[in-house]
Amino acid sequence: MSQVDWAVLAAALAGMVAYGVWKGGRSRNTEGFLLAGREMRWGTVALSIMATQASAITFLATPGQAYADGMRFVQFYLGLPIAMIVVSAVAVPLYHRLKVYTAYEYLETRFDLKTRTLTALLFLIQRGLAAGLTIFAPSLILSVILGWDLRLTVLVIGAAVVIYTTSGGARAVSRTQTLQAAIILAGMVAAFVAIVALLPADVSLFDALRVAGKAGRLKAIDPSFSLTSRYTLWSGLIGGAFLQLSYFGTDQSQVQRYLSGRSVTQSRLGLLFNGMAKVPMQFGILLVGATLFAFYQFAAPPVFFNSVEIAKVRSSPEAGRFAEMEVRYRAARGAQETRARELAVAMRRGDGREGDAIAAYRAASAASGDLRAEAISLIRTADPKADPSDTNYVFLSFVVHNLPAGLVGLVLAMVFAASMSASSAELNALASTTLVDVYRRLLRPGAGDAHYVLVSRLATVGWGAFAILFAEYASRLGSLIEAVNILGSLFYGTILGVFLAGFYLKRVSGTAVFVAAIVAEALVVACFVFSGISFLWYNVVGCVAVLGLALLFEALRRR
Amino acid sequence: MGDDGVPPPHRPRPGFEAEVVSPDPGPRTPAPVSAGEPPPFGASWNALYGIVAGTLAALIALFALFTRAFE
Repeated sequence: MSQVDWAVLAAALAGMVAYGVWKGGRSRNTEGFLLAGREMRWGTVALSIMATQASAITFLATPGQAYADGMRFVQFYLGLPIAMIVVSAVAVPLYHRLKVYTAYEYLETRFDLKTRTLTALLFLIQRGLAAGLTIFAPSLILSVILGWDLRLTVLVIGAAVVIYTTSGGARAVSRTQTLQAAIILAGMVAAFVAIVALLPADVSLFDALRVAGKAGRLKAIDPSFSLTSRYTLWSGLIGGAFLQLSYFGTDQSQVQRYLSGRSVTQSRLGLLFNGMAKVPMQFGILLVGATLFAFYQFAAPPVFFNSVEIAKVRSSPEAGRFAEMEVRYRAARGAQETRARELAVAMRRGDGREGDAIAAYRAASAASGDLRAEAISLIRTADPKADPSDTNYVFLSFVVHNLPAGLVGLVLAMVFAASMSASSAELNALASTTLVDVYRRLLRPGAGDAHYVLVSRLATVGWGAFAILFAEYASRLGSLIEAVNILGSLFYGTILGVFLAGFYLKRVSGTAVFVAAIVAEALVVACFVFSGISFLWYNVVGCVAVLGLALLFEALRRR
Repeated sequence: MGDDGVPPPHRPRPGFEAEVVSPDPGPRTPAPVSAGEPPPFGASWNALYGIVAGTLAALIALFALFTRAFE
């Protein structure tokens, strides 16, 4: 990394912390600290919602996902606009009317204390672990690609977030997220422009995308119905809607964002803007990954993007075989590049020879794919614990090795900005729930407001320390973005079911819902451990199980 | 009331209980929530929801066309 990159990164990092401390001010009451005084306009609410959901994992792993698996991941987000409508219509006016600080307060009003406490604890467990992953994931990737110390990177990101979140609370989080969103947008646009500019002079973006399409990387919609296929139109619309409904309707890290809106209208507009902008945004990020795949059809990629694992195998007894494999892989990639150019020319001419060119390209691609699989096998022989997936390293590896000085620093600043924006919202939400649903409700009700603000700050520091410690010891997780979503799906269905029971099952009691939630959560965990059902469906299973069992238990109770 | 104007969590909020508690001694149910003030643009909230749903349908159609175009 050049000195210019370091300067850009350092300036962005210091700027974000200073901006957060400055804009956050010094909140003196809990409403100011936890909900930014309920004074945010819809634009800030919308950016805050989007920045909270889009962590660094989104911007690092999603392009890699498109590179390895194509654009079908966009279907994961298709349920989001539906969820935005439902949350706007049902949850926003209710929460505003009750003037709650957390979503879980509503459950005590509707059911009882134990149901509120159970869901609050499920949130604290799930979101506490997720906060660790939010910091760990980009730190791991940065440490592998740039050779940075993993623990130091985790510490820098975690400490920066804790400083301004503890200082300014929700206002600092929301205001800083607008700056972070601008940095993120600049970084992604710069990366996309750079990829296009680095394509060979005789290959246009359209040519490159057509080649990527023939390799199956531009398949955005899969209309087939399958319970085991991870991303289809139907799993996205149905399972995704349940997941996003639970996330936006009941996860305090999001509820807190729109509760900071100054009115029902401002909160709703923020959510609806997200409903319209999120899917195209994710499509754009995936398109960066697909374009990167296209770029590497005309330039040789490394046989494996995780350079740490490459270094390990080169210093192992398998080094000789691996070196020979690399020579064969480079030759195969050279042949694939030639076939890709021939395919681009054939498709441009459209003279009926496309079929042969496609077959030749696919054969060359399969040959180099086989060699890459052999290389990964050697990597795992050298280190049986090695992660066979390098999806998360594809994008940043390209950035570091191909972008000019200055832009590398900008993209790294984007990674830090995304990680900080998501984790600051998580810490703020964890502190809110800890204070409002646990400390103020169960441990020390009736204390003064200054005391509660102090406890909120201490809770922020405490959860920050927990996230940093968890991040320090997190192990291999496969595709990081999937790991985060799977973790969420284990809990979200159950929590959503509890809330929907509150909204719509008028005659169901707290005890019936409480027992139903415990059984449903056990069922979801059983699905995760024992079945091959795709994780998006866990949200449906958990939610439907809570609703069905609550009705059953209530009927039994009344007998 | 706490210092911040927020009622203590143990007690129901003033004005809330009378509105939302059902006469049934069982679970309490919130009253139906009104749509509130109209949106600053668009005829109604339902019209805005329709625009969001329509945008989703258009995006799915565009993605399907995109998939077909590059298949």
